[in-house]
Amino acid sequence: MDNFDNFISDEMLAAYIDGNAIPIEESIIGNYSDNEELQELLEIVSDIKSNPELIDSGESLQAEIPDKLFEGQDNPLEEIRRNVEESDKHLM
Amino acid sequence: MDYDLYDDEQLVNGILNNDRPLIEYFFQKKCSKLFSYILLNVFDGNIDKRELVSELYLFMANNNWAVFRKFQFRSSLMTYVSVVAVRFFQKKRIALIDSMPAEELNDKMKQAYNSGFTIEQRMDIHSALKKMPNARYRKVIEVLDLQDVQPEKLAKEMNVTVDNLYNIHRRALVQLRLIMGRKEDYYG
Repeated sequence: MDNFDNFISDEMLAAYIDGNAIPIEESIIGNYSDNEELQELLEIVSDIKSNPELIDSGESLQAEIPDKLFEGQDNPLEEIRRNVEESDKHLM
Repeated sequence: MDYDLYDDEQLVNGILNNDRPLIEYFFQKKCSKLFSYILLNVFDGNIDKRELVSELYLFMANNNWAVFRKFQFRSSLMTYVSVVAVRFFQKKRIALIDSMPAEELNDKMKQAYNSGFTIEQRMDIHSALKKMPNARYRKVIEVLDLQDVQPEKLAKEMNVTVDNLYNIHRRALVQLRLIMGRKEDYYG
């Protein structure tokens, strides 16, 4: 099996790595055990989990956060308010 | 505010509420070395790391922090973020390889095996190898770099493809380099 993107979400994989996946998820992920990208991912994340000192000894990138990150982001309360207003319009 | 004391739920809520200082803490302090480590493991030398990390930030913020909205707290937040980052960089690598001329790619692969360690470096490496936590990585470096065995032979023995062996070798060198506490990249 090649592409596991469509069947295995990030959330499912993270739960699997931390030992919290349900049996059907374990079975799905097991079907892709030959997938090289999945093997690579499991190896990297397992190393991160079991050897945090490796991360600490690495370099910090100090990459700036792009301003675009905050542009167009909605406050969830604002989103709810807009949805309520939209519903009101339909009721009127 | 001491964000170091925040649990995963508080961090996610802060991000979803666009708490700028918390977001800056999360990406620039809490995850910076993590993303750097993942980048080193997924890519070899010649990439603009900051550019790629900026792209990762934007990906995570996309669609009102959709990545964080999907998080269901079935794992630690750091495991989840690591998975997201590895997959994001893997896709970037595929796009990069697809756009790279075959000749350039072959040169890069050959270069990876022409590490040409000096005797002194080999002695350093022998002592660092003993400290490597990942036995598979240890074996790949011992066999490929110190015994100069052909990659095809080792790939067959390990039941992986040669391409996959190249990736394992790159990750092994990253781990070795971190253990040796050196800044130089063995890929030259």
